[in-house]
Amino acid sequence: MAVRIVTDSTSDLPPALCERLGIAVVPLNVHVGERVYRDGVDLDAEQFFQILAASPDIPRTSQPSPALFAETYRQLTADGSAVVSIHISSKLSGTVRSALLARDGLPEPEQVTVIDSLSASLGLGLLVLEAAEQARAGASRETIVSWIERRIPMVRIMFVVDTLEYLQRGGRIGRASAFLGSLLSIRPILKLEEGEVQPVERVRTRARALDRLAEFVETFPRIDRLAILHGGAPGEAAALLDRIGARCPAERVLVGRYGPVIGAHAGPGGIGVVVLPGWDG
Amino acid sequence: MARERARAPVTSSRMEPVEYVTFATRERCDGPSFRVMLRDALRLLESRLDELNALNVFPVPDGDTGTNMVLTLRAAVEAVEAERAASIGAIAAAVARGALLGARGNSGVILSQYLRGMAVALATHDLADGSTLARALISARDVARGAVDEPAEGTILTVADDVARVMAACAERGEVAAVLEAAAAEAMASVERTRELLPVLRRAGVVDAGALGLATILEGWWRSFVGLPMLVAGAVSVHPPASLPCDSAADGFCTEFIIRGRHLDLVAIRQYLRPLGSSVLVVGDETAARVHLHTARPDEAVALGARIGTVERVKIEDMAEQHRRFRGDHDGESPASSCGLVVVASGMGFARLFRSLGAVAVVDPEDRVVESESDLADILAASPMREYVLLADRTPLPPSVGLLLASTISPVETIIVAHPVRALAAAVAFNPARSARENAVAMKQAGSSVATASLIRSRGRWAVRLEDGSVQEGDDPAELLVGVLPRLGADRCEIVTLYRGTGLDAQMAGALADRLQALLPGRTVEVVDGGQDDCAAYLACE
Repeated sequence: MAVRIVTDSTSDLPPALCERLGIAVVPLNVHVGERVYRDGVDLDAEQFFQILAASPDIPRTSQPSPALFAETYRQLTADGSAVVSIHISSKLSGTVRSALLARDGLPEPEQVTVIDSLSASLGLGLLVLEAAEQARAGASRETIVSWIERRIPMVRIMFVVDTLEYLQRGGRIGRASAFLGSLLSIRPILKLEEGEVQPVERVRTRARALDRLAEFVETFPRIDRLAILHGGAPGEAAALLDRIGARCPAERVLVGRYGPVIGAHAGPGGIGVVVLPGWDG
Repeated sequence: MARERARAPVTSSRMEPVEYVTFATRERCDGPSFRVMLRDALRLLESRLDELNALNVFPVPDGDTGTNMVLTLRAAVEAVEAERAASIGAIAAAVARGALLGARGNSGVILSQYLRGMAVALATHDLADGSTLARALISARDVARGAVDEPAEGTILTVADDVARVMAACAERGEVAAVLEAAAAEAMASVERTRELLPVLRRAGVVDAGALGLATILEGWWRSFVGLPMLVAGAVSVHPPASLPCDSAADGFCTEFIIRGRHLDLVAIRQYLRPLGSSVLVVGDETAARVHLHTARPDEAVALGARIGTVERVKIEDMAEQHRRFRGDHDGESPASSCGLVVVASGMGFARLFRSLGAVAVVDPEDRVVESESDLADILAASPMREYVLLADRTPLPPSVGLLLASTISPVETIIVAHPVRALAAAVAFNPARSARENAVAMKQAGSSVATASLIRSRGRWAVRLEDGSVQEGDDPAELLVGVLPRLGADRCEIVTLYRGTGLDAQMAGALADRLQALLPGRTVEVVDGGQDDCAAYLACE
C-alpha cells in the first residue's frame, strides 16, 4: 500500500521538486485588499513582493478550507493509499485545524495522519522532503510518521528580517516585540522554536547578520540537510551558500525563496538558514 | 574564541602534553604563569558554583557564598587581563585591585583581602620561587585575618591559617610546585575539618562554603602550575540539608555602606560596630571604608557611621528574605529569569536610545538616574533581575553603580568601552533572555565592531578627533567629516550614523548627512539625536 505525502504552500518547496517526488501541495490564501490569491497557484513569490511593495493594503493570509483538504485526501486515498499530511506550526496558522476537520469528515479517517510540524517555510519543507523520500523508498506510514515525529524537535531555523514592519503588523512576534522595538534602526535575528518566532539577537548591519547565520550553522557537529531561504536576495543567499554549503552533501542542500505566506510577515529582503542536524549531532 | 581556548585545561603557554615532572622542575613562577593560574582557578571555582551555594550555611544561609567568591575572583581575573606588565608583583597588584573593586559579600571581601595580602608580599618580585610564594600565602592570611572582627573557627580563615602554618615550613626552601601542592592539600584537609569546628556545620553535615571556595582556588593554582587538568567533580560530596539551620536569627539584616572621611581608623570603626552585630567587616583606606555587618539594628549601624564620616551607598537587606529567595530558587521557583541592563552614559538622547534597547536604568556621570525620580537601588529592588550587565562608556563609575556592583546578590558582568558609540553598539547586542555571561561576550564583540570619530566645535573652529587621539582642525565641518571617512573604513561599511549633540542643530546635522550620503551611495546614512554636551556630533561607521 503506497503512502502519499501532503503539505501546504508554506513549505516553500520548489514546484518542480514537489512534482518529481509526488508531494501534494495545498495552497493557503493570500488576501490583498478585495482580492484573494491562492499561494503558489495564481500568485508566486515574485508577484507577491511586487504587490507588497506597491499596495497600500496589508496582505493577510488564511488557512486552506477544510473542503480543499477533504478533496485532496479523497483523491489520494481513492486507490487505497495512506496519507501523511505535514503542515505549518499550529501556533502560526490554522492550517492543521482545517486538515484535521477534513480528515474527520472522511469515510475512513484512519487513512490520513495529520502532523503539526511546529515549523514553517523550508523547516517544514525539509521534513516533507524526508517523508517523501521515505515514501518513495517504500516505507510504511507508521515508519514515516514516527520518523518525522522524532525529527520535528530537531529542526532549527534562524533568520534575519530587513525590517520589523511586517512582523509587527502581522502580529506574529509575540513576546519578541518589546525586545525589538528601538529608537535605533536594527535588524533582528530570529529563530523559530517550539512553533513560535523568538528573538535571538539584534544587529545593525546585514554583514553581521550573515556572519551570525554562518556561525549558527557552524555550531552543529553534523548536518543532515541544510536550506537557505530568502526573500529576494539571491546574491546574498549564494554568498552564504559558499560559506556554509560544504557542511553537507550538495544534494541535501536547498536554496529557495520564501513565499507569500512567510513573506507577508517577514517582508522582503529577509534571509535565513534551516538546519536538520545529524542524529548524533 | 581565542580567549576561550586559552582557558582550556592545558593552556596555550604549555601546549605540549606534558608530564608532571616537566613542571615540577620549573622553579619560578612568573607573572604570565600566575595569570594563567588565576584563570584556571576561576574556572575550577565556577565549576563548583552550585555546590558552594548549596553549602552556604554559615554565617547566614543565604546561598550566595559561591556566587560571591566567583564574582570576586572573576573581577580579579578581569583586572589581570588588562594588566600588561609581566612581573608577578604587578599581576598580583592587579589581582588585589580587581578583587577589592569587585568584592561581594562576606566571603568575597575576605577573599579580596587574602589576595591583597599576597600582593603585598609579592610587590617587589618579578618572579616568585617556592619560598616567596609560601611567604605570600602567610601574608595573605595575616591581611585577611586583620579585616575580620571575631573570626569564627571552621571558616575560610581557618583554612588560611592552616595553609599559612604549613607554608611556614616551606618558607626556607621548596619548589613552586611542591609549595602549591602542600598548600592545596592542607587546604582540602582543613576544609574537611571545618565539619567538626562549627556546630552549625556539624548539624547540617556539611563543610563551610567559604572554606571550600578558598581551598578550590589553591587547588586550581596548583593544578594549573603543574599542568594537571581541572577536575570538575568536587572533592567533597554535598547534599544540601533539607532545612538549613540558622544560628543568626538575631542578626536580621545584611547591612553594607561606605564611610567617607579624612583620617578613618579602620580598626576603631570595627570596634565601634562590634557590639551591634556579627560578621563585621571593615576594609578600605583612610578616605573610604567599606563596611559590612549582619545586625538586627541596621539604622544604629548607619547612624554610627554617620558620626565618623559621610555615609554613602547604604544597603540593608533582610537576610531571612535572602534565605527564602535562595530556598525558592532551589525549589524550582526562580524569582526572575532574565538579565537586566544598567548603563552609565550621558546625553538625554543616548539615555533614550539605551532605554529603547532594553536598559532598565541609565545613570549619568553625576550619578542621577535618567528619566526617573527613583534612585538606582529602588529601581533594581522594584523589579529584580536574576543577573545584570553593567555597560559603561567611562570610568570611574558613579557611586550608585558601584553600589550595584558591591551589594547586589545577583551576578553582574561589567563591560567598559572607550566611547558612547561603542556602548550603544554593545547595547544593540543585549538580549534579556540570555545569561549575563553570554551577553557580555556578544556585547563586547559588538562594541568593537564600530569605528567612530568625534566632531568638536571650539572657539568658532571645528575639529574632528579619532579614537587614536589624532585631531584634524578646519573651518568646514562637512569637509572634516568627509576627510575622516576613509580612516573609519566607510568604503566597507553599511551604516553611517551621525549622533547629534546639543551643539549641533537638526538642520545642520541633516545637511552634513546629505553630504555624506552623496559620497556613499548604496549605504544608509542616519541622523540620531544623541543629546551629548561635550561633542557637536559623533560619526560612526559599522
